[in-house]
Amino acid sequence: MAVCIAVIAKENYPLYIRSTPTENELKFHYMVHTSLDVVDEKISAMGKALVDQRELYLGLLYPTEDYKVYGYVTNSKVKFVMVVDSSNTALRDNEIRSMFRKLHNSYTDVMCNPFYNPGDRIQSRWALLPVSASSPGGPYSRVRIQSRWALLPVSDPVQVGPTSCVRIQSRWALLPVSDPVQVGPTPVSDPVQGL
Amino acid sequence: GQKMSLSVLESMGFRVGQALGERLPRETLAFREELDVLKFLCKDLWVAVFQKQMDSLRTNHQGTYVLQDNSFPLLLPMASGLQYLEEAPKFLAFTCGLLRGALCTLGIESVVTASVAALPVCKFQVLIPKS
Repeated sequence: MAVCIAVIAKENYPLYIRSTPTENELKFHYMVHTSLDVVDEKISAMGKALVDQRELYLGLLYPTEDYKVYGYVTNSKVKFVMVVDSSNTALRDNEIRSMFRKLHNSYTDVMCNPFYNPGDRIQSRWALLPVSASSPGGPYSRVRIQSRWALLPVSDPVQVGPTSCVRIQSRWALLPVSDPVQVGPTPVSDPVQGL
Repeated sequence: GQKMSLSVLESMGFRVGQALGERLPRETLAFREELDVLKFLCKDLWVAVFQKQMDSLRTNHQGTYVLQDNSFPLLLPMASGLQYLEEAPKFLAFTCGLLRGALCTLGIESVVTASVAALPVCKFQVLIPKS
């Protein structure tokens, strides 16, 4: 599981940085900042390479004693940097690639949001939710957000946090709610309260 | 007046172009040069928005590109010939913004203008200032 994820704009300022709250956040911010130099170096090296070898995924940028840093750059020169715990050896290259692909998809969705101005910091909680809500050691879970006005209860569970399973039921459902609502240790706070 | 609404339309097209410029070249590898970006606009962007490719792309290799569409889908149902020539800019403003926005996301600052000689043939001129 990634310890820190950062989305950096093409002018090299951060649009979104999120790290696991238990660690010292400043250390990760600094690590991401220093990794930008390596990213720029790889991009300019890629510029001279042949077209066949050009790729969005940059691979391992540099390892430190506790962490490994991976990079990815999009066609619009937006960079994604991910810091992973070195002790987690189960994470293979193609898993990192798939995490970056999901991150790219989420970022594209944020760009397409008409209320988002390109270049602003990404504030939305729902925007990169599939990325920040990850189960330890596993792939990122898919979050399904259902309308509150649905007449039928939501059948698929919304997985948020390490070990919770929250079932969001519509308040206006005509059918009774049969299953209890379980809220795990780190529930997602509902932005729309008291309907 | 009309000038205000044209610039509003153009800025709307710009925002949409920015989003499309992010979403469309997803798995395509990074573009090598300007001409590749313009070719992407003529092929992938135009097909995604208008379900057809641009008919011709010309350049003077000094930063000016002329994209010509011989049957622009927004003008096609209106008329063919010289009728409604003065109404045409309204339909083209959004598309100019679309091109400018997609170019902006891909890292190219540009000025895009459109001209119509006779419906439905229209030309989009992309000027990329040399820095």
